[in-house]
Parts: sequence; C-alpha cells; structure tokens
Amino acid sequence: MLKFVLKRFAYMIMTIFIVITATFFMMHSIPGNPFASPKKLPAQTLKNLDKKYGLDKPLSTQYLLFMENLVLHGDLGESYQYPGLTVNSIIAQRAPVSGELGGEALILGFGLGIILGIIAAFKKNQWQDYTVMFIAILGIAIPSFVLAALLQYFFTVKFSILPTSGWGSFKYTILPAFSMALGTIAVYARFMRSNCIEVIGQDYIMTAEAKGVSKVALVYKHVLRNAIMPSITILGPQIAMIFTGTFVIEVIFSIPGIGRYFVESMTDKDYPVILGTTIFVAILYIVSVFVVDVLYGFIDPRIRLSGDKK
Amino acid sequence: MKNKKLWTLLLSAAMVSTVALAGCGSSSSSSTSSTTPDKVQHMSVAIPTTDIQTLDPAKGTDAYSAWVLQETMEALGRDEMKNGKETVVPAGAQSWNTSSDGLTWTFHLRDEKWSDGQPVTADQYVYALRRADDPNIASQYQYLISGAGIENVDDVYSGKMPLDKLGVSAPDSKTLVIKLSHPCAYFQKLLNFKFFMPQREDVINNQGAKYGSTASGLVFNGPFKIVSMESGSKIELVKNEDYWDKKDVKLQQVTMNFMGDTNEQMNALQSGEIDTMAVIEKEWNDKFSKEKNLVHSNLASPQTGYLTFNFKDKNKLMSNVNIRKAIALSIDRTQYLDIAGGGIGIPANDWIPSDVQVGNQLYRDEAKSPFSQLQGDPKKLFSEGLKELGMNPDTSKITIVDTQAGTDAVAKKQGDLLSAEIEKKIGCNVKVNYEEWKQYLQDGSNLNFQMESGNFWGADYNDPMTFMDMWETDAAATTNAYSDKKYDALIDDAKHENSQAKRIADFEQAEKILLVTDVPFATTYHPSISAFTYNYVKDMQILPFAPGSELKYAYISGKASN
Amino acid sequence: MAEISKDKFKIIGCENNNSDEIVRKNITYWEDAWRRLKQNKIAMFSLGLLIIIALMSIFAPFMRSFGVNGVDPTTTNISPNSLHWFGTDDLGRDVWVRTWAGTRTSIIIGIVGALIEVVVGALYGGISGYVGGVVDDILMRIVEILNSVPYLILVLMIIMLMNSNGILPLIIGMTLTGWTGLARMVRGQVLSIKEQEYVLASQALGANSSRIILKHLLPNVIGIIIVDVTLAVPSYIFAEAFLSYIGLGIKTPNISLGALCSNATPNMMFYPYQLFWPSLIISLIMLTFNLLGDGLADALDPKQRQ
Repeated sequence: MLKFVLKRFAYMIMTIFIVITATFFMMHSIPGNPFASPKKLPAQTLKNLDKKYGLDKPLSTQYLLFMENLVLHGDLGESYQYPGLTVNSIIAQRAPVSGELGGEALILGFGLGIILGIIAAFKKNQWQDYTVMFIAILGIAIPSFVLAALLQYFFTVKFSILPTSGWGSFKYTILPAFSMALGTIAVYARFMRSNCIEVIGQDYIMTAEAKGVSKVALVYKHVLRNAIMPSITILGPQIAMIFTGTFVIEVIFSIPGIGRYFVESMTDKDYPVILGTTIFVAILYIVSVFVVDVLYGFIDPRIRLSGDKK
Repeated sequence: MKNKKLWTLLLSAAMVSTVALAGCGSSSSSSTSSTTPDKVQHMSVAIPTTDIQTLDPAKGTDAYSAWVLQETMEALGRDEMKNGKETVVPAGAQSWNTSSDGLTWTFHLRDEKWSDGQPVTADQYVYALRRADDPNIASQYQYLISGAGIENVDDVYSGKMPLDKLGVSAPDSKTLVIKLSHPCAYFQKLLNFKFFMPQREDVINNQGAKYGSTASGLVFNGPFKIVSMESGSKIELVKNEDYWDKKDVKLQQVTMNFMGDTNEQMNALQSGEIDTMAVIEKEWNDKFSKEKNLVHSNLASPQTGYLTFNFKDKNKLMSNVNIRKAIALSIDRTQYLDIAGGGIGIPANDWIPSDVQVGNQLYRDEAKSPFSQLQGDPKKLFSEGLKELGMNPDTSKITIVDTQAGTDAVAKKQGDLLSAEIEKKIGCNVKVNYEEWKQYLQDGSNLNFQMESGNFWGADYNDPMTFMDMWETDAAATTNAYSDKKYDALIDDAKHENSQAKRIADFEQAEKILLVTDVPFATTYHPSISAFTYNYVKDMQILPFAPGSELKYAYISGKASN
Repeated sequence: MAEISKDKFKIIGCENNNSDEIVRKNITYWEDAWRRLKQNKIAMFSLGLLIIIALMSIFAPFMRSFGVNGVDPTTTNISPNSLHWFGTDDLGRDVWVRTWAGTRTSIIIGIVGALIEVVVGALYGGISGYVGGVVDDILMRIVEILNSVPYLILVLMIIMLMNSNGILPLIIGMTLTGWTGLARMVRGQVLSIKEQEYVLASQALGANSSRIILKHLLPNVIGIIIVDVTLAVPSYIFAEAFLSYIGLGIKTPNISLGALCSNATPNMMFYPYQLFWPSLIISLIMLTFNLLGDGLADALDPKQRQ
C-alpha cells in the first residue's frame, strides 16, 4: 500500500513542477506588453516599470527568481494590474467564492441527480421516469450559458425575484449554481438510473423482495449502495474541478470568482496573476486527483493490486 | 461582456448624476435644490468594473481608482460646476498666486485635519509629488507633471537626480511652493489630479508593500471615508466628520458597488438597487427615457474616437496624403455613431471636443473647426494617391488591413461597420484584424499595423494641449510615426506661451494641419455621457473632466414616497 | 404401449457437415449493430434530425439572397418577418443566413476536432497497449501529466500564444488534451484483447503483428471509437462556444453558433430572437449527437449481441 501511495505522490510532484515551468515560459511568450497603455507611455516610464518588476532581466533569471519565491516563501508575486495586491491575497479572496459556487452546484447536481435517477429507475417507463429523462435531456442539450441567460431573463427581468448578478447572500448563488448544476443533474440522473436498473434486475434484489424486506430498506441497503459506486467514481475528479470555476457563469453573473479573474488577467497580460492562478488551480486539481486515487486504493483493493499491471 | 476600452473607461468615469444645478432633465420633474433632505441619507452607485486598481494616488491608471480617491481625499483643487461652467476651485489650498513670469506657484493651504486627527501639512504634498516622480514607483501618469514642467521632473524620474531636487518645497507647514521650468498655461486645471493630494508618509510606511490594495489602516481628508472595501463586491463610505467642509456634505453613507457587466448595471438601475448610472446602449437609453422617475442628463464628454494611419506602412499606402484624405472622407460619421456608438454622442467633425476650455473660455467658441475645408471624392482621391505611389489606380485591386481594438461584440460592430463604409465609398477591400486590447496597444507602439481603429482619446485635463501634444514628432513616434515641423513649432510655442489668445491661434493652425493638410488620423465621433438618475437624488454633479461623479454636495430628498 | 413398426421410419441419411449449420442466417457484428440501432427509435430520430440540420447548414443560406456579412445599417434589429425569416441583428445582417452558416462552421469544427482526437487517441492508446512494457509506462505517464493540467488553461494559453485569427490554433488548443480519454479506453481494450486466447492461438499459428491488429484488435476497438467520435463532436462545438464567450473563439468574418450566441446575449433583453435561434440549433445538435451516441453505444456493445 505504501509503495502505491509513494509512487502516486512522486508523480504528483513531478507533474506540478512540469506544469509550473511550462506555464511560466508559455506565458512569457504570449505577445503583448502588460504595461501597454493607450496613453503612449514615454520610454522612461516603460524603463522604470520594467526595472521595477524585474522584466528587464533575462527570462531564465526571472524564472529562477520566481521559483525561489514560490518554493521558499510560497509567494506567488504581485499583480501588475492592481499594484500592491499580491497574487496570494487575490486567490485567498476569490477562491472561496468559486469554491462556494462550485460546491453548491456540485451538491445540487449530485444530490438531485442521484435522487432523480433512483426515482426514474424505480418508476421505470412511467411518467416519473419520462419527466426525469426529459430534464436530463435538457441538461445535456442546453449549453450552460444559454441556460444562464434564460434564467436571468425570467427570474430577474420578467419577475424580479432574484438579483441579476453580483455576489452576497445566499440568494445571489441560486441562479448561477443552478445554471451550472443542470448539466451535472443530467449526467448523474442518467447514470444512476441505468445503474439502478441493472442492480434491480439482479437476483439478490429479487431474493430480498421475496424475503419481505421493506421498500425503503430495499432501496437503501441493497440498491443504493451497489448502484452508487460508479457514480462516486465520476464524482472524484469533479470535486477537483470545483475551484477551477466556470468562468462563463462567473462572467455572466458578475461573480468575483477565480475563473473570471483568471480570464481577465489573461487579457490584461498580468503575468503574475496568470501564473499564480494557473498554478493554484493546477495544484488543487492534481492534489485532488491524488487524494481520490489513494482513497480508491483503500476502498477497492482491486485497483491497488492491479495498479502495476494496468 | 467586459469592455476595457478607453472610451468606456472615461465615459463611465463621468458616470452618474444629474446636473441638478443647471436643472437639466427631460420631461420628468424639475429637481430643485431647495427641497428638504430625507432622514435616511444613503446613496448607492455602481463602479462599472470588477475592481479598482489601487488606492495609492501615485499608481494606478484607471479612472475608477481616481474616482474613489476624489470622494475620499482632498487635492489642492476640486473640479466642480460653478455658474454652469466646469472649474477647478480651491480645495486643499485656500488660495494661490503665481509669480509674474508664471514660473513660481505659491499655495496657501487651508486648515485641515486627517480622519485620525492629524493636521494636513505642506510637506505631505511635497512627499506626494515626490512619490509621483519616484523612478522606483514608476508612476504611469508621470507624463502629466512632466508636461506641466515642474523643475527637474524628468531628471528625477530617470534617476539622474535625487528626489529632493524636484521643484516642490514647503517653506512652512501652511505654504507649498512649486517651481516650473517653463510657464504652463493650464497648470491650474491640473490641481484636482490625484498627484496633488497630500499623502502621509507614516501611514504608507506602516502599510508596506500592500499599500493601496486594502482600505484598512488608511486615513482620509476628503468628504467621505472608507469603512470597508470588499474586492469585487463593494466599497462602503461614510461621511468624514473631520472634513473641513463637512457642512456641505449631506450624505451620511455611500455604497459603491462593483458591477463590471453592462446588463448587470442596467438591471440594477431598473430595480433601484443603484440610484444612478450612465448608459451606453441605445435600447436602454430609449427604455429609461420613458421612465417617469428617472431624470436624464446628456453631457458631451471630452473624448474623440479616431483611426490612425501608419506613416511607416510597409505597403506604402498610408504614407500618401491623398489616400489618408480619401479614407477620412469616406467615413459616414453619423451612421457610425448611430450603430457603433448607440447614437449616444456627436459626430466628430473636429478633433478637439466641444467642452474643452482654454483658460476660462470654451475653445470651440473661439476657434471654429477647419474640418469642412477637407473636400473631395473619396474614390478619386484614393486613385490619385495610388497613381502618385506608382501603383495601379484601380481601387478594387487594393486591400487595406484595419486593426480593430477588442474582440467582443461592440468591437465587431465597429470594425464591420467601418470596413463596410470604406468599401462602399472607395471600392477597395478592407480586411479587419480584431485584436485583444493589450495586443492592439503593443502592435500600435511597434508600428505593426496599416490602419488602426477603435481607439478613443480622452482629455487628461481641461485644455486643448492634452489633445495636441500627442502628435508632436517625439510623441507620435510610437503612435504612427507622424512628423511635421510646422506642427511641432506651433505646439512648442503653445507650450511655453502664457497668453491664452496666442495659444488659441496656435491651436487653430495646428488643428487645421491635422484635419485638412496632413490628415495623420481620421475622427469618428465624440461619445456623450447619457446618465439616468432617480429623481430623489439632488445636487449630484456630473463632471466630464473629472472621474466618476461628484457626490460631495448630493443628498436624497423624497425617496420614501417613491 | 402400442407397437410402432419399424417401417414407419425411413433413414434419410446423416451428413456430418450439416451439424454445424446454424438455422438462422449468419449476421456479422456490423449488421447486428445496425439492426439494433434501427430498433432504437430515439437514436434513429436523432440521426434523422442531424442529417436534416447538416443538409440545412449546406443549403439553407442559399435560400435567401442576403450575405453572411452583408452589413446594412438601414435594417438593424428587425424581428422575424416574411423577408427575414429569423430577423436581423444589430448590423442589419440576416440572422437566418448567419445561423446556418454558423452551424456549418460549428459542425466542421466539431468533426475536425473529433477526428483529430480519435486518430491521435486511438493510435496512441493502441500502440501503448499493444507494445506494452516500458513504452506503455512512459506513454501513460505523459497522458497523466497532460490530464492534470486544467484543460481550459491550456486552451487559453495556446490560443493566446498562437495569436492568429484562424481556426487552426483554436482546434489545436481544444484537441491538445481531448484525446487522452480515448487513448486510455483504447489501451484498456487492447490490453484485455491481447490476453484473449484467440489472439494467443493466432500467434501460435504464425500470424504476424499487422494481421493480428487488423483482424482482431481493430474491429473490437472500432466500436469504442465510433461512440467516442459521436460524443466528441458536440463537446468540441460546445467548447468553441464557450471560448467565444471570452472572445477567443472563431474570429470575424468567420461565424459560429457560439459566436452568434455570445454576440446576442447582451441584447437578450431587447431582441431575444437573436439569441433564440442559434441557441436552439446548438441545443438540438448537442442533443441529437448525444442521443445518437448513446444509441450507438448500446448497439455496438458486444455484450448485448444477440
């Protein structure tokens, strides 16, 4: 077991390192000067700016400085666009917002999806089944931005029930979370439904029913626990995605999250922020995948044992 | 979608507010200023961006930071509407006088206190100006004080001289002296700029590297002070009881909400979540115009949209004056304004906008635009130009490449429309190259384009010079490599001249060279500020030359009955 | 019991080769799959709808005389009427023509992207699975690293890096990490087949690698590939639409459904029809591809073979 964990850990570190390095060099190759301004800056100003931010040094030196700061101090640098604001503080402010939104959407999507899937499976080919399937179809077909626009129109313009955009109390999160969740609901509903149907068809369910086990106990003890495993398989990586933030939703609803910030920093050519956000998101993702892998290793012995062969 | 272009910046910079003093409004109720204030004096406005850049007056290039600073700090002067004219009135300085040669400005400071009780002293202004010129801070607006000609300003900035050699000094705690190396006829117009706000060295040292990114621990000497600032969410202001003019401040609380999305702003205005907003789209304009409890203010904004022609064009086309004239003549400015600008503005048949003042007079009252002197048939002129270049005079064989700023829907409208107009009138092909803003600016500086469009030039201060010194040979080197000795001479003269009459004459000739003789660029339109404010807001001022709107005198009256 | 006399029975003979005869006609894997697909009404309906949409995208623009980029300032923002079936946008361009032209581009992007993904992914996974050993390890580690980078970040960087206005950087960016899923699946499949006894038998009989690949591995893998393609197309269309929202998708004068949607969203309050039509088409495309893909997955699943 330990060998498995160590191996995965080593890969994780290596991956993170490669990602950071690649991002750094890619980012500096993107054309455009971060200090380009419509008010044609005099040469002296540009010189001073370059000097201040260390941009006049050769690229490799900048890279080493950056890595040194990162590894030794955990410091991701200071934003160009917002002087005085460190990347760390930007992330600290914005990531929880994305996390909250993503988490809400995931809980909504997973929870509702699983429940709907179970209902559909048990009421197979009846109206409940068709309703759930219809919802699922909508979730697959309608792009999230279209859904977001529609929801905005109906709930904020036509009937002013919810705020249009922005971020604050819980009511600000309802529309964006739902826009993101519908697709997830669809996936889990269909998946759960087909898994449940498969499990229900198994002999041991028939046996349990014949033995007189109550419907509720049936669902919970037998069907659910067996059918839900594959869904958890997909859930893992999705948890990792919470923080990456669906930037389109964040843009449409003006949510101060990290996805949106990242996109803005790309157009602003705000190198430190681009780099910092990329690294943060990548690390989060990679670590989550690592954790999920290790957990599976505990839960499902087959994965552990076949790890080398596969 | 987000729109970071300059014109939206400055346009929504002068956002909100009814010019209540002038009683300007459409069909709705006339808002007089002698109504009883409500008990609750809380106003809510929108900052049309995700975040302000910084609260450090020496840094930051966005108009939004400048706006927040304007409401919370007091510079030597303040931009206000006085007798229907926009003027910079004494604020931090009670009065000032100039020496007869115009080179020494002496400011007599008011008795003022900071929000922590400390007095405002002259050396704090000295400290602030030194920071603005500090090469280690690398302020991007340094060119303003450089143009004003403060002694040694450029040598200090390049590091050749130490900070204390900058021509600012404080002979005593209530007197500030600024020495110029040449007279600056518009120096008074600069006094509300954030460089002229006092700064506290002790506070800044305390804040350290994070200075400007948070509001906690900061002190203020303006009408309001910041209670909290949540990045991406909002800024809360309350009345500053230590302000020297607090008797004129009636609002108790102001909430500034960050709203980067146009639809968000419009919906917020409609629902009353914010009290005022500037509108840039025709449909919203029409919609709000019909609302009974919204007062509409329409003010000219000192900006001009323009296209630049690259004199170092690799295909030689843009180096020919007839070709440039042809393109300038082929633009249907009214149509462009209507479609690309939502009809909110004035077609630009001049370069210097109508509300720019020279001294105390409106420039355009004194100097008529020479634009009508540019005549000719676009297609013929273009052909002539081709002939002069030794090329086939058939215009249909030519393809022009236009680099348009921005890749969003608004930019696409501008680019597509422009190319269609040129193609129609001249008969050549126009290919539009849409570039992200920073990329566009970069290519501009590197002269990597044939023709550039989508740019707007806005005034930094209230004088024609801010529109003219950019076309001098040195300055234009990275704009489009335009160079004209006659033009340079005129602008140089205007720079050192103290007599406004002489300057007007200089500018008049210079503008003719730009619009009729050389045509290094072509204008499109001047955007206007079209703002809607709820009728319970009184005495808020929209100032085209100042950022945001002036909330100092505003108050709420009659809101409860709304 | 009554006596049954021997002469009531006649010997008609016994031929050994008949014992192998199967009563029913021999159906190949493909015919069986097609048959099962045909029975799946939803999938067939989706297929039909898709074909209609594809045909429309080719021919529909010609039904009207307006150009894709025919800017006409006098006819801006007109609601759908008999002249402009879908109305006009804010530059006076006909929405019908633009929507179908956009559909064409979107479908092309989807198909090209999916094809690239499939070719690269299948080859990569196939080789990795077949060769095995160290090569397999290295190749799979590379896949893991690629997978660890959030897809969006990679796409954004590539597009900004290449900075041209064409479709190429867009497609490269999008496909750069897309193929990893298929590679894994193909590899998995190849690995499991490799261990089968009939492959061993084949090898024992002296079949060379290419024959094994062609006759045994490939047919078993194609099923997965087809399903993957069908599901990949909509995801690329969707990805391009997503990118259009940040301004990194298709650039003018080219138009895609995503670009149409993102242009129309700010106007949604006043001219909802501009957003409605491209959204409808894009939703239909996503839907039909997904349903078809589901149907194909069922039809091509060897476990369900009858």
